[in-house]
Amino acid sequence: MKTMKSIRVVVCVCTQCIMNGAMDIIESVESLKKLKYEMRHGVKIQVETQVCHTEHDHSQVCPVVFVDGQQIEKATNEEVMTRILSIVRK
Amino acid sequence: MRGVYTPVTKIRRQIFTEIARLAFEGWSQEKVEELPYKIISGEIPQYRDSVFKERAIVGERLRLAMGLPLRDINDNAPISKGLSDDMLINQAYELPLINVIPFACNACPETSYMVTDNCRHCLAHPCVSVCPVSAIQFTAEGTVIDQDKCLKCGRCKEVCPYSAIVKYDRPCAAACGVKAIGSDHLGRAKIDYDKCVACGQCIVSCPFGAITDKSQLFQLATALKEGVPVVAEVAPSFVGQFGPAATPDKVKAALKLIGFADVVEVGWGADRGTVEEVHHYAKHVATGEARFLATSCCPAWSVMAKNEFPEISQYLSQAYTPMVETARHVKKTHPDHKVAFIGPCSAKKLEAMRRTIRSDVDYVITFEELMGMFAAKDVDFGEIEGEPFADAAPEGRGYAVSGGVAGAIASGVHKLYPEVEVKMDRAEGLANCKKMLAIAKAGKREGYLMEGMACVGGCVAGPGTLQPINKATAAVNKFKAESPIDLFEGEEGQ
Repeated sequence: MKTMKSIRVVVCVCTQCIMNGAMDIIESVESLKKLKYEMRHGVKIQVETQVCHTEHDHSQVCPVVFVDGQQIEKATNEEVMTRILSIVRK
Repeated sequence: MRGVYTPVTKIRRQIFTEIARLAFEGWSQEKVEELPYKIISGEIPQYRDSVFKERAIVGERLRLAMGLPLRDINDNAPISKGLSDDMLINQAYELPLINVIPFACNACPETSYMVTDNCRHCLAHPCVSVCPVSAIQFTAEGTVIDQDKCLKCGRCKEVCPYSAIVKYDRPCAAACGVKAIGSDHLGRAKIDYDKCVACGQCIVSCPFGAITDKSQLFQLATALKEGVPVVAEVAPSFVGQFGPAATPDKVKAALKLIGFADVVEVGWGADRGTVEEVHHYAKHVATGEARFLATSCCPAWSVMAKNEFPEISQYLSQAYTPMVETARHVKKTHPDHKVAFIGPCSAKKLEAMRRTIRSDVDYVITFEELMGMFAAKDVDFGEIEGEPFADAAPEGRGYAVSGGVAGAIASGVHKLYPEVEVKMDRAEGLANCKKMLAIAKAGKREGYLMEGMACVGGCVAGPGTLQPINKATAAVNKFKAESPIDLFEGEEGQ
């Protein structure tokens, strides 16, 4: 039986990240679920939120997103969606 | 553009954070003058054609965020011009509330129809056949619409088989439901303040960030820093606005953490209004004594109704708005305290400017402006111990979502006057609200309960919100279901 490919996206929702668009990134990632053809139908995207405590000054790199464990600093909607689609297409 | 995080959103929020930080840390003229260089750093422009222009625009935005008026273009004055010690805490809003920063405006053309590259110069060219003024011409360069002749009727757009003709709308004017936006002598947006009801839709629709409202963020943060006792009254749409970690009880605790003496739900005042309107509907509207009852809690809608439909404005609810009802209650229980309304709305700022309300509501800021205060204070919602709210019933909490006000009144009528049938209509967006009132004026809404909301979706879609409407609506509904209060317990029909 074929296992479904899964991508885990963790979005930091601390005050600084929310102020810098974290919730809009979550919306963008969730909107990808509607792109059934582009997402090859079988890919599952899990979106999680948590307040991250990175080692350096968080306010300088907000918003912070992790896509399959890879950290993206100063994340933008387009960057996160591109990263997810590049994993889908592998 | 609401719901999409853009560079305009980014700059606006940076301004709020920096102004709040300035107030909390203590301001000086030097600090104010440094802010444009902090927000727009380096020499490579990120947003416009030069960093100098970007900084000049930021300078004006900073002034508005401190409640100051725009500077005259010929005025060689510092950003802090007009900021005096006596206005640091007590400055009330002054007109104009909504401002176009002229040199930030792109002077977008007014509404027009244009032919795009999709045009195939087809044999049939039905666009030409349907144009009543022969404004469409086939030239060697392509198909063009003579803008001097064009009536903007849109018939050509409707019949084009290639969708080659587009309607071009200036975003601010298209968003304005009361047609308050015209042009100045250079083609830039100019607001007609006789028509403007401060709904704020132009602010969130301008892709150049050229329109912004004044704020009392600076005055409120200064008051908190100076230890002035201030009670925060939070509008029902606050739930979910500050992210998933900021649960309602944590928001209450966070407000106290940054210096508020107490926090109350504006839903409390909404509940009082609901009860009053339930009785009014059953006793006066259902009996035919009054023609209809129009809700009044959305100030943009009620001001529009008074301005444009004065002959039926007496049917607007006479109940105090939830903001005012709650503020008056707070002033009774905390006579030596100031009151700050925190909500989603620019129009509430306009409401608070009224002479009769100034003594009740001292400050009005938006959720986005409050988030600037949380960011300036580095509030960590993950670390805060929550403090539960228990002020409002489900009815009052539901005011935040479109349909919630009329729904609350209708449910009360069903409970207290089961023999009364409630006829309801509602509209969202000022243009639709005007249509509904025109129908009512024509006598086709007799005996109705009518709800008007300037923002499509209700208060959760206000210009001062941070979250996507669907998520905010879900959060409000969850909070509503958690209310421990039964509004109509012990209440009887009169």
